[in-house]
Amino acid sequence: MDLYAAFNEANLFAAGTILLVILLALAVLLHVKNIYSVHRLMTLLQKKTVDRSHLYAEMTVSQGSNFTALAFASWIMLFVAIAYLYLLVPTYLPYSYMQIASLASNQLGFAIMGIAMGLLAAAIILFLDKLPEDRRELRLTEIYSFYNISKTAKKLIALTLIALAASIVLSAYLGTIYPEEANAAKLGSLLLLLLSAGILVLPIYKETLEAMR
Amino acid sequence: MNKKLICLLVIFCMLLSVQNVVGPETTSAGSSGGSGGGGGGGSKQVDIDRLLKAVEDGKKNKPEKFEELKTLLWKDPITSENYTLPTVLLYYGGNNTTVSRTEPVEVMTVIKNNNLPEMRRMLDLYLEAKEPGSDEYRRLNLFPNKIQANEYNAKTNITQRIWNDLPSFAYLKEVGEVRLRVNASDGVNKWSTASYKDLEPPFYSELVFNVTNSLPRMSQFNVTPGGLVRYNDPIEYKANIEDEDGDMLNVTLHILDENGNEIRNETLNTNPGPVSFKANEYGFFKEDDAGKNFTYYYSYDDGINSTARDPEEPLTGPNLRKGAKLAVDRLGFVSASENYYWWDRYGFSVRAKNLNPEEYDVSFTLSTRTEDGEWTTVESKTEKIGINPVVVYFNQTTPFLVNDAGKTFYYRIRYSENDQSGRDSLERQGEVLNSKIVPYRIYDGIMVFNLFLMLAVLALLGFFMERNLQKGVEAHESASGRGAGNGASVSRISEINSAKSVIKMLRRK
Repeated sequence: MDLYAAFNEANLFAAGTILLVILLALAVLLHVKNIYSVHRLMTLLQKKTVDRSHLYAEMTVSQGSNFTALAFASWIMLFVAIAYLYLLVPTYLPYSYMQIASLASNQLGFAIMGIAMGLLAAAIILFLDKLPEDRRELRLTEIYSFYNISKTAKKLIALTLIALAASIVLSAYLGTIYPEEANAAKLGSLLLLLLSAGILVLPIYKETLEAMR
Repeated sequence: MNKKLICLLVIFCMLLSVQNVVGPETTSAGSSGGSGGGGGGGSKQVDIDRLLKAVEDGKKNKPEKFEELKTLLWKDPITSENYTLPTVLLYYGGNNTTVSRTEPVEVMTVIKNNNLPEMRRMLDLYLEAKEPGSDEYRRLNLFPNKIQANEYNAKTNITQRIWNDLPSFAYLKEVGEVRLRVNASDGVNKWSTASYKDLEPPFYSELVFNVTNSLPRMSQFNVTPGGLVRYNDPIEYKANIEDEDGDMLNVTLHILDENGNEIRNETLNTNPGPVSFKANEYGFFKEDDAGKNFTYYYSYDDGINSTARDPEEPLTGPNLRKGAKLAVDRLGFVSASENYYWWDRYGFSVRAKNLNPEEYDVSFTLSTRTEDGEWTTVESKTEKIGINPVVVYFNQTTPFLVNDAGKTFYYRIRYSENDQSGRDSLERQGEVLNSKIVPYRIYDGIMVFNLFLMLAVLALLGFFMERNLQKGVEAHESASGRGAGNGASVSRISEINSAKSVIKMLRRK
């Protein structure tokens, strides 16, 4: 009975939220660790200190314009999907889109919110792109340039656009029925979000696993 | 007189002391002197307390002896035959002795005392006035104004007093001639400034003022609201009254009927300034007055002068219109859905008829509010209301905003005539509005458009970013070595080549 109670909607949503945070935070840490490991290994093999900017210049691999554009769109949409799930209706945060009642009832309110969040995400990505050369590991625009990404992985990353769009639609549905709730839609949106985030950071985890081997 | 007596007693005591000092030796064994031993050369000191007690006892027990003692000790205060009466004159610096009641006046008394300083005596001055309608002089200062012997100017032998007891003639209840004079006394002689002759301004033996009163004036006559009004509308008579003297004023409003006969009047006791008579407060008009035209004028006074009619020709107002006497009921509403969404269309209605046989145009105004909010006018319409009941509809209204979601709403219909209860509106509580905020369903065209637009913009954003940043192409160029070749040193090229081989090795792994 207690076990059944533990798997209620609120707990599942909280667990999913924690998992999402861990997934993304760990990906950042592992990405930095991967780059530093390569640098350390190169220093060891060459028996001299290698400038990190030289390392980055040689490490980066072209992933193609189309894939990179899709990846940018996916990352922006991930940001928007997170905002839709957690900010459209009141969840854990003190603010929500529904508090701006005039916008929420506006005919183009949902589009305005999504586009505003997308522009904010783009601004953050562009800001990170301005980091110095020896901090290129933190540039989201170049995250996939440091890894070998298979065609299958590229297809999966491209498909996250559809998954994230579905997550956004489910979150929007939650917004249209507010203050009513739909647990299935909420958990479904979170699940799609987790799946997409996992695929987007998959190359980092894969590289880490290979390095461990 | 008592003071003189005390002075004489003190002198008497001193004389007795002197007599004791130089007089023959006494044999009585008084307690005060007996204990002195050899210190006093045999003389005895008289205790002043004992002396006073003896005099007081004498006053009580032997009044004849006491009177004899007084006569014996009395000394005429005039110590010289050269003593002359001081000259006491009224002084007024103003050019005009015609003054209004509230105009400040400064009246002074100038005293010249040519006696030697040691001969001068204190003077008591009293200001007296003979006011309009009175035959007698009235003393204005309760206590005498005292001129001390030592306060005269050493060179001119003159001193003066301003009569602060008379700042103005505002206290007068009647205006006209006011005569002022000063009575003086030096303790022995009494005389008046009126006794001096042939004085010229600014010195006066008797100062004569012609005191005038300012008439109050009314202006800015008005009756609000203008035009045709109902008998129970908030009709207000307004005017402004001024009085330079600042007196309390009695203002009377006279209301005349169509024949010019006074039907009502009301008096207000007020300070100068705006004057207002509210018809509903005084109950000036009744239902029977509907359809009549009235006129009015004012009368007023300040307690001295009065104006019997101002303006001379009565002013028009108010003009009361005939009106309907409504019977109103069945106030209600219908909603487009049972969910009571804020965006739903609502219909409101009320039934009305005229209890009088005539037919009148009556305007109805629908207003709504939610909980503690303000009333918001939704719609107004005018209907002809006669003896047959008419249902007034407000259809297809959208009175609520998104902020009203989740709140209880109230609605009210206000009408331009009074109903059977004397009210001019009916009000009801509605329902609790649904708390849903977004008025669209996910599959509505507008929502599909919203989501499509947003997703398209986000996808395009990614492509535009790549187009501008060229990240995919840049990485490729770098990997081919073109980026490193431009201007690089031999050692750097060597370092880069070795790095390349290491990375290839790592990637093969």
